[in-house]
Amino acid sequence: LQPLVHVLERGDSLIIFPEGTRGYAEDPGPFKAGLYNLATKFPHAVLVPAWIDNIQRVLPKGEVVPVPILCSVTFGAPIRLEEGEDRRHFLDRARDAVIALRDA
Amino acid sequence: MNSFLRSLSPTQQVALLFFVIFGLLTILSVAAFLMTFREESQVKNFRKLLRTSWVMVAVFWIAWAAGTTFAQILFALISFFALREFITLSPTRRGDHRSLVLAFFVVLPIQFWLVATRHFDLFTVFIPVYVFLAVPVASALGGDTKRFLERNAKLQWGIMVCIYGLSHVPALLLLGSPFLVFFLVFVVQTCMVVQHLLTRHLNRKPSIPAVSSSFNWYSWLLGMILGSFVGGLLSFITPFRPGQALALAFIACVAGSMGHLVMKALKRDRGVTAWGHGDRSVTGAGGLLDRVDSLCFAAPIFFHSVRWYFGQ
Repeated sequence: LQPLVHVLERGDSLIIFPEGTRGYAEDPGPFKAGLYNLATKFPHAVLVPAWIDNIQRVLPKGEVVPVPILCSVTFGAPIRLEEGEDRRHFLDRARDAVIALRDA
Repeated sequence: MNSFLRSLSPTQQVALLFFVIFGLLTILSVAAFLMTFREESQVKNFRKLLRTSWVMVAVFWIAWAAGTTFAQILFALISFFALREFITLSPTRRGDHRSLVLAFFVVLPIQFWLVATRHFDLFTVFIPVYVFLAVPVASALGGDTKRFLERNAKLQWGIMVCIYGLSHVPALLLLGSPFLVFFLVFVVQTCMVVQHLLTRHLNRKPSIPAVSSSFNWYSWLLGMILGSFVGGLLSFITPFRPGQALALAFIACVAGSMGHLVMKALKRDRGVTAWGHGDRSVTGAGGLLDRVDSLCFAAPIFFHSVRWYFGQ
């Protein structure tokens, strides 16, 4: 995570895909711990959930040629790590916040 | 007047036509601008319509000035962006990816290339025969059977409307008369605009409220009559006699307005009001398909009526 920590220390923003990989399912995979670790290290960083619609259709995993489908990004209200919140609980909550934006 | 027009070369005739249309648009725009000093809300929609007309005429002028090849490319691009909007709003699954690649990067270029190279016999059957049978094969090879028929129907319909329909517009350019495209677009657009304005003013009850909140048979009929009449008046720029021009304009108007209605039903089914505009925040689409959907239906019908009747 060191490069990410450097970026945040400089006061810049980051775009993270916390699931860490692309899958075949319609929902994003379970979030990896990186998001939690960054959130504990930088409690004042604002975590904005975002859903990229149609991105799976443009280039599914394993395909080579992208299809020119229009994508759109929906941003949600910021979430934050609660006092003493469990790691798994926080990661699931973050994932739910992202998925909730799909139907917004 | 008529003999003067006939004494001009075809190029001069087209130039004169554009001169007249640009002049009319200028007058209308100035009038609309002056009217804004009085009442804002009434004129707003009209000015939007005028802006669309300006863009359309300018595009056609550029297409004509730059030659047939450019027109082919132009309509291929319009077709590409229209299909993009259509596919964006029609949910497809992973297994459809290959078919989608096929539609965008193989079928579309080949279809417009067939038009440009005047392979008329092949270009009329390429999509309905070869592509429509190939698309389900590509999907089946994708190995996903969930909602198989529905997904294929959507894809085929998108190809039918956005590629096959629109490719018939530049095909008209090659039928011999440089004015046929203009004739078709002008007649259909007149019919649609008249219908739009009448609906706004008459406040009639919608005839098919489940599909369209504005469509009613009365305004439709008046739009038909006026569109066909304008077609009859424009017969001097076409190879047709006035009666024939009137009949062909009528066919084009029926196809165009009904096509518009079909696309409205599709939009309702998808739960959006417009392919782009009203829903811009969700899809990011530009609403191009809203502008050309009536042409998508009118062009093939018009093209084949002309070819069939005149045996070209």
